Order: sequence, then C-alpha cells, then structure tokens
Amino acid sequence: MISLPVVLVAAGLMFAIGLYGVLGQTNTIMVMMGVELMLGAAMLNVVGFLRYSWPDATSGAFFVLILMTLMAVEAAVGFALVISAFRHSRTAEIDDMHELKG
Amino acid sequence: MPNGGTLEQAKSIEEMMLRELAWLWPIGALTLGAIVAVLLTMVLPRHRQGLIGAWAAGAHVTAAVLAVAVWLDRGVRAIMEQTVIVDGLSLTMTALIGISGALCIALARPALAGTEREGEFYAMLTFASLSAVMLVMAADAALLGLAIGALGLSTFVMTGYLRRSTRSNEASIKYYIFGTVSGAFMLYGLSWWFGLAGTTNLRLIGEQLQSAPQGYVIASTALVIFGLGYKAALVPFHFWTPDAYDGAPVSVAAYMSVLPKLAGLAALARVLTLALPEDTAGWATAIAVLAALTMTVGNVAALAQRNVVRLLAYSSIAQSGYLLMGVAAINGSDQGLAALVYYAMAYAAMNLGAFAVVAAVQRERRSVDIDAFKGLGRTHPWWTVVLVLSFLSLLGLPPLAGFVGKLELFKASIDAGQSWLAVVAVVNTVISLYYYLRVISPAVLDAPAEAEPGVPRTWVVRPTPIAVVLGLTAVATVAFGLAAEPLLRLAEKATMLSG
Repeated sequence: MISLPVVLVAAGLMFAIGLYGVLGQTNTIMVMMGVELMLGAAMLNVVGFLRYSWPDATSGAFFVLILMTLMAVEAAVGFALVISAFRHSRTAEIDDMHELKG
Repeated sequence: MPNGGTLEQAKSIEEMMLRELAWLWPIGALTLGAIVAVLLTMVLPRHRQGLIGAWAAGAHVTAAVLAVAVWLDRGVRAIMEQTVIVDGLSLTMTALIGISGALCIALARPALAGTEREGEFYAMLTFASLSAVMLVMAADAALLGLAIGALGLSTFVMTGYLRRSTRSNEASIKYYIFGTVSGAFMLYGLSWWFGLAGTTNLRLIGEQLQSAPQGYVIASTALVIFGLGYKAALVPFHFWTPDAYDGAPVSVAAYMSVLPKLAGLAALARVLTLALPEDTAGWATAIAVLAALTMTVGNVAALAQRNVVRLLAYSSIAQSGYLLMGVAAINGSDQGLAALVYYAMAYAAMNLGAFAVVAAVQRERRSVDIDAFKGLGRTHPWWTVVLVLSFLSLLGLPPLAGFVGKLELFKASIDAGQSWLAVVAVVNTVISLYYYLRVISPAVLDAPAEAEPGVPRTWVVRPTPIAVVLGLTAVATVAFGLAAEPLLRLAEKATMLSG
C-alpha cells in the first residue's frame, strides 16, 4: 500500500539522484537531465502532500502546474544555450569550458 | 476563500480581482512593453531596432512612474487573494527597477547597435525586469518560484547574447547550470513548506510553520534561502558571479549586479518575515552569519583581481553582504528595512555609475584590465570624475550616498543586537579601500599607458546614451548622500504589509 512516506522517500531519492547527476556528470545535457529530476522530485513531493495530507489545497495543484511550465521552458532555454555554444566550439563538455577562471 | 465555496462567492471574488487589477499597473506596463517589443523586432529592419530600445526604456520609466502613482493614489494592499503584495517595499523596488532598467538599456545601446538580435535583447531585458517586479511583489510560493525561474531564464539568455564569443557562451552555460540547480533546491524546499502548511500562501505558511516539527522547518528553510541567495549572489552561492559578469556584455553585467540582486534581497526580506515570523528557526542569526561571510569573501577575493569587471563582480558580492545586514536586522530593529531600502537606492546609483565608466573604457580601449584605466584623468576627465565618485561611494566615503547607507546599516545592525556584524563590516570596509583605490589611483595619477600622447583631453562625452547614464548616476550618488534626510524618510515609509 502506497502511503505518504513512500512518496516522500521516492521524491527524496529522485532529488538525490538528480543532484548526483548535476555534480557527477561532465556533459551539459546530462547535467540538465539531473536538474529535471530535481524539479520532478519537487513536483512529486507536492503531489504526494496534495493526495495524502491536504486534499483540499487546490493552490498546491496550481503550484505543480507552474512547476511543469517552468521545467519545460528551462529545458528549452538550456538546449538553446547548449546548441549555441556547440555550434561555436563543437563541445558540450563542461570540462572543456575554461576560458573564464571560475 | 481559497478552496471551494459557492458560485456566488466565486463571482464576487472574480469581481474584486478585476477591480484589484488597478494595483498592477506597473506590471502591466512592463508586460505590454515586453510583448510589443517582441512584435516590433519582427517588423522593424535591423538598422531601426534602436527604436525598440527606446520603447523598452520608455516602458521601464512608465512602470516606475506608475509605481509612484499607485502608491500615492491607491495606497498599499495585498491583492489577488493575497498572492501579490503591493506595499511600500515592493513599490519602491519597482520604481528602482524601472529606472535602473532604463539606464541599463541606455548603457547597452551603443555596444549593441547594429548587431544581429538587438531588438530581442531589449525584449528579453524587459521580461527580466517584469520578473524582478513580480519577485518583489510575490507573497505566494507558486508566484515566488515562477518569478525566480523567469528572472533566471531571461538573464541566462542576456548573458549569452554575444553568440560568437566563446566566453559569452561559457558564461551563460555556467550561469544556467548554477541558476537552474539552485532554483531546483528552492522549489524542493517550497514543496516541503507546502507539505508542512497545506497552503502556498506565505503568510499562512508562516502561521503553520511555528507549530511544525523544527527539524523539517530548518531544513526546508535552508533550501529556500539557497535559491534566493544565489539570485542575490550571497556566499557560498556566489561562484557563478565573476564568470557570468566577465563573459557577459558589460551592460548585462551592470544589469545583473543591480536588478536581480536587489529584487532577490527584497524577496528574501519578505519571504523570511512572512513565512517565518518572530524569528522562527532562528533565521536572523543565520542571515547575519551569511552577511559576514559574503562581505568578507567578496572583499578578500576582490583584492587579487586585475580585470575591473571581475573586481566589480567581487565588489558587488561584498555589497550584497552589506545589504544583507539590513535583512538580518529586520526582526531586531525597526530601522533594518529602511536601511536596506536606502542602501539599495544608493547601490543602484553608484554601481551603475561604476559599470558605465567600465563600459565607456572598454568601448574605447578594448580592454577592462586595470592598465586600461591608466591616465584616464588626462584624456577623459568626466569619466574619471564619475569613476572616482562611484568607487569612493562604494567604499563608503562621506558625503556620498554609500556612506550614509552604510552608516544606516551599521546603526540598524547594532540596534538589532548584532554589534559583532557591524564590527566585521567596518573591518571589511577597510579591506575594500585597497582594491577600490587600486583602480582610482592609476586613473587619476598615472600617465596613459601606451604611446598615445597624441590623444587630446576631451571634455565631450560620447556616445550620448552613456553620457546620460554617467551624468545621472553621478548626480544621484552625490545627491542621495547630500540630501539623505528626505530619502531616509521615504525609505522608512517603504514598509512591508504583514498580510
């Protein structure tokens, strides 16, 4: 039987996997996928709370809708930036970016 | 009536919301400005796209004027079912965002004239300002997340504007990754706030969090501060700042160092007071520690910089630390918010002035190294006057605006029982003396670096938009300092509505 803690743990795991992707991957696209997982974890969290703790809190549903929109736009902008950089320097690896000192 | 209710109730709420649109005129001006700018880019030929810049700057100024008009005519109010708060703080910040945004457009115009995507740039900048205004007005977790996300996305694109430059591409990708990751942290924290409180309204969240399990509250609050702290370039969320400023066009660096930063700090002040009233989870001390860290790391890192844009990037991190003193003092002292608002105005003036000089120097000498500033006083006296005024004001020398602002922040800090923070800030001011003077002294004392003795002294400042920015920011830096009294009284009125 699925209950609130199961959802929360699943979301926490998703967040952790996404964070691992962000920190451990060197390809910009893979890092972006990590970020998507982290945002997905936030949405899963809200949906879980909405289902089990606060079924009447409609504002939570809107929160999830806004998150979804944000996620889609973020991915679109991210791909645009990566493509623009790739056209120029033929790489999407973060480790190849060392013009700026960091 | 957040959930459920009858049809009649829904209708009366809808009517009320329509009436409340009158409080949203500044947002309306920026929205219209941005959308029309996008349409104009499709219609106008490339050599006429400067008109879009004028249009976007007009929209910014209109938003600022409307913010004042709303305040005088309609007063403050929490509208749209308490989702949007239109109060002294948000209206003052809106006016500041409008005017600073228009100045940044003026700064960008000479550098961008004739480039491929000039019109889109102004449209993007207007969208960024729109999101910044939404950010300072947000009183709901969903709107807060949306505003942070939209502000980030428009600034990522602006950073990568120079598509043929590897540095610009690299800066935008680094900024993008850092921005989206910290945004994800914040949204995950907000999802926990929703879970603990059962609502996305920040004030109602605040009522619930006081009785919620403290461990969860502290952890989720830390995540939310992460997201807002990155916007305001606080240490330890500051790593993107020097790279993004360095790779971006100078005008974009000027924009990012003022608008998203001040909006992020104002939002931090509002979110913390609404969602964590009465110092829930002891955030005031945490913010004070962050302030001390931010100013120290920023100032120490700035010491070693030879690139003036990177130097100003670290200087702006240090300035965030000073501004954060105001946020930390909000609970303990009634002067905290007023000091924050006054210093925000002073900071916008002096930092835009500093970046305007850098933009002018980069335009003429093709470099932003400290050596490029050598002998500036011999060739360009007016640039040097503005450089000296804005750097001394950033340093905090009387009678300039930065001095009064710092004094108010120190007083607020001591009043709030955080005297140690004031001491740290004074020590930091002394450290910052070194690197601010390191730029001023070659500009004033040295002879020009290269063999260009033929360059005559010129009292004419060109191009005109940069001259306007230089003039306005210099006058504001001096005037805000000399006429501090009325401005401080205004800042005291810029209070927050508690909901």
